[in-house]
Amino acid sequence: MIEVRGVSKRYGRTTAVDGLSFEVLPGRVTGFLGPNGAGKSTTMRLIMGLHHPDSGEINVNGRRFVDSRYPLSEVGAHLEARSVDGARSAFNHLLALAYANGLPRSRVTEMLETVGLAGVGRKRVKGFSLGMAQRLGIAAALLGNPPILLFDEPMNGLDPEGIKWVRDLLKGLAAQGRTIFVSSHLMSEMAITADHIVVIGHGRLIADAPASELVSRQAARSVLVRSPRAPELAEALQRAGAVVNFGQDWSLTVSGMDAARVGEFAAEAGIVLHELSPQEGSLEEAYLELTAAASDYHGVLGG
Amino acid sequence: MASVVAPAGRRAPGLWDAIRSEWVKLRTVRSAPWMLGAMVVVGVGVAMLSAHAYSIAGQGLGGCQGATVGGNVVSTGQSSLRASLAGFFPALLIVGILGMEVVTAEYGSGMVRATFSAVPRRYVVVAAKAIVLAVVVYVTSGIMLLVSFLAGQALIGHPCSASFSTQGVTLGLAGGALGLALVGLVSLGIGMVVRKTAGGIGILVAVLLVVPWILAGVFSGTFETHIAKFMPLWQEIAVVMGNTASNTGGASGSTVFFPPWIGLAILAGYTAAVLAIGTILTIRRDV
Repeated sequence: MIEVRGVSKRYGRTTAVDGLSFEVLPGRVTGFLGPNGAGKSTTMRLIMGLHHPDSGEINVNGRRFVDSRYPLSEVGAHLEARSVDGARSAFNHLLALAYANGLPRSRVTEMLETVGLAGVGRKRVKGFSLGMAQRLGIAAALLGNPPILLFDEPMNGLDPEGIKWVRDLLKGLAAQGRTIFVSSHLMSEMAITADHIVVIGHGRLIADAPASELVSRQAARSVLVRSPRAPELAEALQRAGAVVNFGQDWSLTVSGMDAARVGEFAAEAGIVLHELSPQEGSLEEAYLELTAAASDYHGVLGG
Repeated sequence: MASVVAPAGRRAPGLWDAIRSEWVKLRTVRSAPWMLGAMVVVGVGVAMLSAHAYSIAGQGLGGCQGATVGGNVVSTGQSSLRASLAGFFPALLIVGILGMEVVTAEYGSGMVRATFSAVPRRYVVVAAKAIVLAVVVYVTSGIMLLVSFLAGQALIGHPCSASFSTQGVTLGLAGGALGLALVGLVSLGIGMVVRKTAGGIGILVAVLLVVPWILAGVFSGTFETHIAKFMPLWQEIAVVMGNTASNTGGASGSTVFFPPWIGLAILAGYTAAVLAIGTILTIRRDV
């Protein structure tokens, strides 16, 4: 389990993380989302003790990561695909990390096979594609067989096959009871992969909820209505406080009122409905709505 | 859940594991073995040239040539020692770069984040790096100086050559290797402070050479008698070049040095100070 409590971090005059608190629980994949510059990478570095918070505290397994006795076997982290000296081979890079934690050489060979780099283990990392570098970073995170794993944008630069591989890996690791914390800007990917979502913007917590709840929260807010007397209905609904948008062919998208209330209103006014359907929101929509206010650049999503 | 294996029963990793890790790092980037190899080749080569020049000059004078070190006339054996250990100077530069790279290469590549994720107690990483570097440099430069000495003396030949029993020889060899190891550590410390190779080398050269030159210019009268002995490189050269305790008396106008082991102790003190500053900054700063 990872506990982030009231953590703030400033770089000069920029506040990267601002009073952030959340928990990452074992046995599920927790997606970490936010627009560019929201503070995701900073938060991950703070968890790993690479950066020091100005205030607040972060515990992994009940203590600061810096106090780990078996670091690689307590928390595995894949923070940046290029945290590697390109002059070294993949094997020797992992060997240096393994030895630092008293792990045997055989573990390195095993991990290279696990991530599908066995064939290029003796090649220098400099020549690796981003996808291969991602796999190497994942191998490094898995070296100590840790119960807690952090991945910062692990799917960047991977082909569809690679993305599926990472998704299955993350889900498999969570199914084994591990704590999996993964940041991504690929919303569609997190919708499939994550069980729980933490959303931040401007370094502040925006949402911390099960993925399904975020979607249904969004769905509850919007209802599609079709009626031959659409303008009349719209007026009535607006008077009742709902927000109504006209779509094509006179369909109405009603938010701020659930489908049942819309139906009751129509019945009271004696208005015939041809369609009344709660909108299945997507995680993508939920995310866009949540982060709209916090985003520095509207319409731009990422890192 | 079966594969969530608690590391129970396994020995907690410590300094020795960090040392093994740093040793793997040092030997698996091509630049380090290359630099150490170059140090031996260039060092021995320069020493041979220097010894050759010494023997020619000696023949020209029809005998063994004395030499002056810091204004002190030293004995013939020490002069030939000086000639055959001239490889110390190119080695100095190479060791400086190597010591710097041990740290700065990690910051440059981002490897440092992987390193501190594997060993979050950063002082352990620093200690391991320092130990590996010091041992590697001491052994390599020891071999270089020894080969330089033997080959150089063979070239100079009897009666001008020095032997192991000549005063200052064992000190020049052991102290030279030790001095190079200390310079490597100073460089490592500076690397931890500046994190970039270019800037770090600049500072190292400033500390070892530029500052003493400026001081020598400003305090032209008192530099040799009172200041030079505190300059790390000057003191180290005095040790290597056989400026032994016998000529620390300081006739007027000549350079005054501490006895060699005190000089090395002062060097070690400087090194410890730089390493301490580097370590504190390494622990405190974000990476």
